[in-house]
Amino acid sequence: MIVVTYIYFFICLLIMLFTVGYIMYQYYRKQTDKKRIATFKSIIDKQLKSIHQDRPLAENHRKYLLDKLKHLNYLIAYHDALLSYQNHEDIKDYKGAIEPVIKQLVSYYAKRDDMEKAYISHFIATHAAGVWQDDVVYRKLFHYLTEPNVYLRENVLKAFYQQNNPEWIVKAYETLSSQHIDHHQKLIQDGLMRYPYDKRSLIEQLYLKRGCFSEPILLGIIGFITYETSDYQQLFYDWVKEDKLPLEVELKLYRYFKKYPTEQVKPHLLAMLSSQQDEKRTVVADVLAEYCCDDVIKALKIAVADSNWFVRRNASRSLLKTDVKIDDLMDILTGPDRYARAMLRYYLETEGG
Amino acid sequence: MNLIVQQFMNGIALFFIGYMILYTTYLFLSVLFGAIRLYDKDRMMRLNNELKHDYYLPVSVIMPAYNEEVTIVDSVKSLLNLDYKLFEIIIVDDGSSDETTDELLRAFRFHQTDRPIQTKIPTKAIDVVYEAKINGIKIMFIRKENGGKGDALNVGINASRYPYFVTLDADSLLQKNALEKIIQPVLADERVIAVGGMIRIAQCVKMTDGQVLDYHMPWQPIIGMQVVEYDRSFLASRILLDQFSGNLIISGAFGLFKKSVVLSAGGYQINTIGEDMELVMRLHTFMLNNNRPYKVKYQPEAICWSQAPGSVQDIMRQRRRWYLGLFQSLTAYPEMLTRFLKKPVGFISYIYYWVFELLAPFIEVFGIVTIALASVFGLLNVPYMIELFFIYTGFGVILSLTAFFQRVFTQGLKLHVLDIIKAFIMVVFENAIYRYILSFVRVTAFIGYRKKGKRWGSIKRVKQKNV
Repeated sequence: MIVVTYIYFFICLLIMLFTVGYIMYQYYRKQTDKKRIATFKSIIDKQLKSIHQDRPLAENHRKYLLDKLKHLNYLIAYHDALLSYQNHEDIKDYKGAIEPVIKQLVSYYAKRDDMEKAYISHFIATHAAGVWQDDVVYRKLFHYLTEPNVYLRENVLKAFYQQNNPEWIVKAYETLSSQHIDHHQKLIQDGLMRYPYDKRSLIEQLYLKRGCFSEPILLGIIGFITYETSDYQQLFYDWVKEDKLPLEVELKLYRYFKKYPTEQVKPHLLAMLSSQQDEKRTVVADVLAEYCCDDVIKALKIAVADSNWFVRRNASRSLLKTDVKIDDLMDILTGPDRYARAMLRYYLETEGG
Repeated sequence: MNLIVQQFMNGIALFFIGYMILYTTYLFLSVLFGAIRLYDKDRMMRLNNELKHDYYLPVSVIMPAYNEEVTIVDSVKSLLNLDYKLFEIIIVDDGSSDETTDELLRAFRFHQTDRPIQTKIPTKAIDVVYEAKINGIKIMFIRKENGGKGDALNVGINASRYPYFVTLDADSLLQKNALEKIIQPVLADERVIAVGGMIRIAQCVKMTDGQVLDYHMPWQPIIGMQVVEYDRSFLASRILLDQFSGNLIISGAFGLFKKSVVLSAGGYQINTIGEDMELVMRLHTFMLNNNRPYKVKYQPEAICWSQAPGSVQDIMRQRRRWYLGLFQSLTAYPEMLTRFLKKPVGFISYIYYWVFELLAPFIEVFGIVTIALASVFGLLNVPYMIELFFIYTGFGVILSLTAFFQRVFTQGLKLHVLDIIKAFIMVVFENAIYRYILSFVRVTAFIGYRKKGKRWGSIKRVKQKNV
């Protein structure tokens, strides 16, 4: 017993000493990071001056970078140094000139662990926009996509969003879907919104391939389209009428029609207000706020007394956003359904009619 | 006769050797896994391996309160400065008898509403609902009939609008990025149904707008010993259990839950003392019973500063409650052992909590009685006993100090020499004295058990420094 405890004691003592040593190393690292950043800045300054005078980037600068940036701590310092030149007029030319270095670095980091691969992906995602477009870079990164590490996957996708060929993004989503690798819809949507090039052509390609994507990716894409364009009313209308559409996808499409209302979809929405599924009635009751006409008001008046609490709530709010007449409101406020009365009264007080 | 006693003592010695080996192995593995995970996490942060976004998922922050007039306003104000774009705050006053309601109404521009609240979980009656919008954040303040903390939390769940909710004690302060950090495991894996945050002691920190201005180990021994105790628990043990989604406790002071799953499981129990642990136990069994894939995560980067009891009386009261809560939660879910023994949460977590948390004080008392008996029969090996005590205490000291230093490097705190000295003193006292006092408190916890029912735990609150 005592022997075992002594063994544990000494191992734990080593762990403690390692921790204390690590704290000291952190202090040391902060100082060396500062020095490295300063060194990189002075080197980059020289190259920027040279570029400004229409001279090419010095070959030995590329060699120096390739040699140094293979070391992670230098790559981190270089990344920080580059960030400080974001608004410099010649930085784009400078970054363009070091693309061959990046191509070699991506291959080099392919042999490193997931965290380092994720970091090189993050580095590319931060600096690639409009400058590093060579397929070699993204072909290499593509192999990281199927790793189980979510942070690596996210950083690789962020890098893809910074190159101007939508096919890479489509291909990445297809791969994730076919390999049943889940990536949160929120991450997909936010990522797509960072795409700095022609978003319409990206949307077109994504829409064309929609049948190949998993549900979270589809939801992310619909969210992105909803944020970006009203051009998809007709296509989404055709889509929403498809049979066997996953429920979440259908609901997300309905929400699109809240932001971009179209008369064409109104009969379908009204029909869905009588759906057997609570989720559909709830969402549609909310969407109908943007469709002001007598038949919508009539349907919402019925929905205010729905058996589902959320349908009643959304119908009350939507009703008040339409051109509802005071008589219609009085019908509910003096009607027999006390839940409908209470709900409508609250929203009349808080949001007005 | 002596032979029988000797045989008996040998048997007991074997039992204790086995027990101590298992316990020290657990502690050792905790520190080892804690060290590996924290080192990894530090590296991940440095290498931008995180899901950092401008907008995360919307969350409802539920803050149940009972007689919290001293801290409630500061706690709500601290929430208004968080680095999080979309959340609502729901404060539920469980029929306080002090000035909690008046303090809130004085501090914020609430207006009374008739907001309809769906009763997804049955609760005690709601007296009045107030609403306000400050800095674009919706705040709802509900005053209800007294029904206990679980009931107040259920009211908050009923009133919440968003798919995830965070529970937060009314004496707690969240660090600026705490909500951002606690939601990240959900983005990483949609199977995550609950995430526990790290609780730290608020009395040793100065904060402004959710940012730590200054941190010092306190001289007050009661507080200081709790600081090192929390460090060891939150930076070692919970990290080990997190390796297999095995945490059975998410502190009520700061935890995130998926609302749909909590509702399906029936919400918080109102007739229990440890409603936070009971809920997590129920979520485990609910998901396992229904064969649904799930994860319960622990996120040490999501930090909440909570007030610790400052007097012996308060700490004894608090630990008695915790112990009874542990007893109720463990005994309520025997299927963890009978049905889910093959799952790590059954054969590691559940057994660990039974043997090394619930039964430990009794085993320790039994050990002391045995020592006395052995001494009477002249069977006590005194030098061996002293050596065992010192090596065991020394082991505890090393573990606690390791956790203390790990906290320093993971949270980027500035280390002062005086803090190290204080930490060392506190760690020695905590391992040599404090833990035995707590064992005594636990053993006596059942005295008066039936009388306590579902009351709120109350400790003396102090105003937070520089909030």
